[in-house]
Amino acid sequence: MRKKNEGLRSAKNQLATYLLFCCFSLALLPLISIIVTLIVNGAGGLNAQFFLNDSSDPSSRGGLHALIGTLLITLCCSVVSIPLGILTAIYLTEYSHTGKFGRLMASLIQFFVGIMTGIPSIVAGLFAYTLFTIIALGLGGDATAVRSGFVGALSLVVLMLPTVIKSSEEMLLLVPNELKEASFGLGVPKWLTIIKVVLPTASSSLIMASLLAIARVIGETAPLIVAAGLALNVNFDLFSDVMASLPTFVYQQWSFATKEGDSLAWAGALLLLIIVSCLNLLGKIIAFTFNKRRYIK
Amino acid sequence: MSIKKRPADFIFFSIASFSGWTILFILAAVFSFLLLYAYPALFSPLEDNNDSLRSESGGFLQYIFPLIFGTIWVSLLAMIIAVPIGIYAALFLTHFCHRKIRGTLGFLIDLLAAVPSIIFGLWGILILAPMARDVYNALHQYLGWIPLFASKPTPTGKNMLTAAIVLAIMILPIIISLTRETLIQTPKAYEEASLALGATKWEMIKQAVLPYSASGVFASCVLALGRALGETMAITMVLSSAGTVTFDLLGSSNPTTIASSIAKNFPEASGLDSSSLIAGGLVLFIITLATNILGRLIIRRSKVRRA
Repeated sequence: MRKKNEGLRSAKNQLATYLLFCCFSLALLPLISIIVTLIVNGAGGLNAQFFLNDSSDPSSRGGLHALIGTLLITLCCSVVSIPLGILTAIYLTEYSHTGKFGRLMASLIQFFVGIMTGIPSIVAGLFAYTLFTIIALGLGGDATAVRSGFVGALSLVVLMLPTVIKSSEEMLLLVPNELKEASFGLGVPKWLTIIKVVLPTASSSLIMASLLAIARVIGETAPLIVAAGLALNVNFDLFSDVMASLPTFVYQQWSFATKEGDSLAWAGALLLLIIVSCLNLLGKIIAFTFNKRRYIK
Repeated sequence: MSIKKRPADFIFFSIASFSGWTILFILAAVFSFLLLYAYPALFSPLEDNNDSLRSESGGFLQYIFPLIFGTIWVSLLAMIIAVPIGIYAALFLTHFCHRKIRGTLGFLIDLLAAVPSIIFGLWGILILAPMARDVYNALHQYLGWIPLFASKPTPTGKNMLTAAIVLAIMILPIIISLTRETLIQTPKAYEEASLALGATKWEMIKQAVLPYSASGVFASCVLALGRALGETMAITMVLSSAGTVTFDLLGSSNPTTIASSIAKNFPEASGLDSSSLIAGGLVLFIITLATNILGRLIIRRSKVRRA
């Protein structure tokens, strides 16, 4: 009787192990399928024509305008969010312990950063659009032509800021107190301590956090459709006229429902996946070398 | 105690705290600008021009209700698929797989989380939907007596079930990574005590790990639900929507979600139609806000109880 029961329990354990393994494989299956189909369908489309032409000429359609748009919009968004996010993280970690008001502010900011991570991406796009429409109406401008690369970048700022703040805060908390105290002990003022001691110590992990945040927003589609519009032409001006980006390019080409459109969409999606994976991999490599260095110390 | 005040210190402090204030300001601006723009759609009477969204359904509430239904329904379906798989996969990652490959597998999950939603949409509509057609036919043939599978499967595969599957795949990595965080917090002593009493590994999971991290796991599911509610592109591409209210999973006439209604109609909308869509965005914002606050409150409460 006892023996039988033992067998049942170990069989249950075996069964559970297999079940868990199956579930994990099931979770990875789509990733493998996506990578394989993107390479099969998209690799052929990533040719010279794709990188040299925009989509305005029907005889030679490419994705140059989307690539340029993605680079400009992401750059503009990063230039705003990364410094702002890291400064907020510095405030949270270094300055918020002074006084009742500081602590209240810090917990308020942390709570709202948590809320901000949950803003649906399309709502961020709507926000940027309404903000600029109301400004345009207020200034007596043309409210129908507010869509531009800059408005798109602003909507991405709303999505990127909370990720940058959260991860930089974690990284800054890891900086050992002894380093800061040593610096204070030598009479170095607080701001110089932060710039010369805290930031350099955390620099590699801050770079990693920024890369992962960029990887997150570079694939955002919905806010850019709403705020930056859909375009067929190369546009270098962030502040006027609609601007394409890789994700909106994929959506636009797919929505044409032609064979050529589909193949361009696959090519754009493959390029997007390559960019996102490279950013992730780079972030992981930096984190890995950083961790290794810390262990050696 | 008194330290010499340095102007540079004050300037740097001001910059840092200004950044902190900016965050609060941005969130307030998001809410107030949306409200300002959405206001006409909520309170003004129906108009003839540029007001098709409201006048076709007879008012803002009648317009938004089916969309709220669709948003919640597709998210719940996705949760039903993703939650068990996600928790089991996280358990595999933390307790069953070999230590050496744990990092690599974790990276693959992170990569899945980083895949842009537009790629999921493209994959869902061009690969998954045609593939799932035969499965849907079989479901309808053998399980057609269940009301969920009653109607004839759409030949395009653009139905609620496909949308739910794609959505489930998208929130799976979120559930896995958040759940993993709470599972590894289980004190080693609990696990070892259970094993020392002769429990098998699976019994140890059930006795020690799951009860300890139950609230954390629940909270991560709620946060993933918040993500699912706001998902736009994949559903816009995968679901052929008619804006009806139905629980049916296979047919060609499906409910649509708030987010995909905005993505579809906003580029061409003007006047009161834009206001209606922005009011829809506001409703979506409030729903996800409530979900997220709930999740965070659960996390905080479980932390307090543990401490």
